[in-house]
Amino acid sequence: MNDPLVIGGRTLESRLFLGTGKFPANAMIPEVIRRSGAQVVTVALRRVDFEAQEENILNYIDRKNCILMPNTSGARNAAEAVKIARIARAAGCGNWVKIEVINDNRYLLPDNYETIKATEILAGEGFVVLPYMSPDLAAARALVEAGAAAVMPLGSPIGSNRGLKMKEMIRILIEEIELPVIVDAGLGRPSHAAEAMEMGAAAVLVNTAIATAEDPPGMAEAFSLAVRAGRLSYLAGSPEVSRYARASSPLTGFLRD
Amino acid sequence: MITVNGKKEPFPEGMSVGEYMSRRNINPGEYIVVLNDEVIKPEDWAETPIRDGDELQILVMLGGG
Repeated sequence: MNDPLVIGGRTLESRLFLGTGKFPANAMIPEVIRRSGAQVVTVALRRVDFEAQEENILNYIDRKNCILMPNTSGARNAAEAVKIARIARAAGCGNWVKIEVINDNRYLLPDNYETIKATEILAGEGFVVLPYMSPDLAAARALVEAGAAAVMPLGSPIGSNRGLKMKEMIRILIEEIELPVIVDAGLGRPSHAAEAMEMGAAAVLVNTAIATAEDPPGMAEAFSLAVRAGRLSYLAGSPEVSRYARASSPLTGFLRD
Repeated sequence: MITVNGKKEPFPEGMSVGEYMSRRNINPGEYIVVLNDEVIKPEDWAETPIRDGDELQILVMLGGG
């Protein structure tokens, strides 16, 4: 299928973006990436905990085949997000960044206002900025103005596996926003991902549902297939929904006049 | 005093970033080193002095969504 997604000047064949948190073992990640087909992979920057023997996740990601997308998790305002993005780029992680500014510890909902401010600064510095956002049309328009490369509305709260609870708001963004709309967060089943793609999302970003499955590589492949199925369905044009039955076989039988 | 990952430590007078990392058994390239908000590349560790009052961050890329 020749249906590439172009973001920040890069052409992507895969519309499944992969998060790398919460996997039971880092050693599993190469196989998960392979079976997901993902070409964009998120990572996070943290202080080293010298007692925890933390491994550098980059040892498990083949950067020849993947674009790294550091996130700014831990940032509570635009200035902190900008600082994290600059460090990641200076440390050799490339110029893609997922802006994530969160002040709310219970639902981990993004702060759209601070996200817009960070996007404007970083886009001005040449970053390819993909902001994680609450699906709000005015905020999405402001992100377009600020120079975002895509917008990434949440389907439902991070790690909740609740699916596409924000569906109607995301549908509005897909209709109204010229940039790719990538559904990020909350997709807990491959069917949720297919649903997002069927309604015209450009891509989805999945982490928890794959990382915490009993068989993460298997679930990665399931998501990959669901994303492709949803995309094909969108391109094929879903027929309209009807309240009443519409016969699929001729009703003019031969048993009666 | 200097601050390392948020904690105060005695100023390691006369030490470079490289010597400090070596003392902590950290190899060049293993972690990201940020001195006063500036990333110090591994090739520059040996030549970058630590000064009294500096803030040093030793960071790592971990899994994240």
